[in-house]
Amino acid sequence: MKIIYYCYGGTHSSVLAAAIHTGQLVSKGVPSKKQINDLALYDKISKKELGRPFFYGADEFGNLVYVLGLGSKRELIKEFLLDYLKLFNIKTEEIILVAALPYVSSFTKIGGFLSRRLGLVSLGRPIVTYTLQKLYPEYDNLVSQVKAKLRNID
Amino acid sequence: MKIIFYSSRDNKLAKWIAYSYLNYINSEQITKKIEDIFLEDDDLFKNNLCYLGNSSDNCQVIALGCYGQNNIILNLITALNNIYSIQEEVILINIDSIYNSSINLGLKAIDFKLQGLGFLLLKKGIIAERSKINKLVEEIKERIEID
Repeated sequence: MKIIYYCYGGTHSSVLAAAIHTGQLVSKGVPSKKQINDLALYDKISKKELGRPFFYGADEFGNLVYVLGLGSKRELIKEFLLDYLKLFNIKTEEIILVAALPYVSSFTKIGGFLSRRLGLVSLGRPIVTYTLQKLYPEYDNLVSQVKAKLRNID
Repeated sequence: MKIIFYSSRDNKLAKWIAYSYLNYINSEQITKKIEDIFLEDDDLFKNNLCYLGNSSDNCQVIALGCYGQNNIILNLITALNNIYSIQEEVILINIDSIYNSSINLGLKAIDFKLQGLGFLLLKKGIIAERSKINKLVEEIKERIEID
């Protein structure tokens, strides 16, 4: 199976979820700012890389985990992704697309915008990281739900 | 081989050109085909990547509307081809150069429910671009023959 965590930019909330999923962050307890800031791809992906899935690691079931930024028209791009694979007779049942954006706050979005769009990394990144720390339990819970689903599929 | 005609807007003009490639449109059918294609339900998310048929050179012909998301979609195509080791060649044809002011006005008029005027302008605009469309179609056919 391929698990794709997606959000607007594929570099904050989806990275956090993918890191939890692949065991790069402990599942219990809120990670420190440094732990989040040190995550691979965290606050690194640029606008021109939207639409490019980045491999993040494998989970304990052997599933491959990716992060993906889909921009503002996420439903459109999701449909496209699945339709494109169907054109080549690729089984789309083996892909789980997980939205990582619904949990983020307005402050996360503002921080992300400042850092990625305006290049104000020193201002934007701390805001995003702080808000993701606050939202960490939500992401932990999201990943638990995804893993429960995977156990049922297996 | 797959040929994807894509537009940075919806997939309707891309469909028109794809049908031209498939030889589904002749001079007598222009008005009817314009109405058929441009009156279709405009569902943003469904059937946006639309398989239309196989050409005489046995290529699958597809139309796609990118709704301003060209870069994201093109990145995704490249990435999916790599991830799934898709070997089959995919030819991407951007049809944005076909839009002219008459087509743009026609589309606006249809949006505003002025369908009579809209289709008149669309037909005028598409006929004005027929030679460009035919040239594009011929170029693709030649490219495929060479491949």
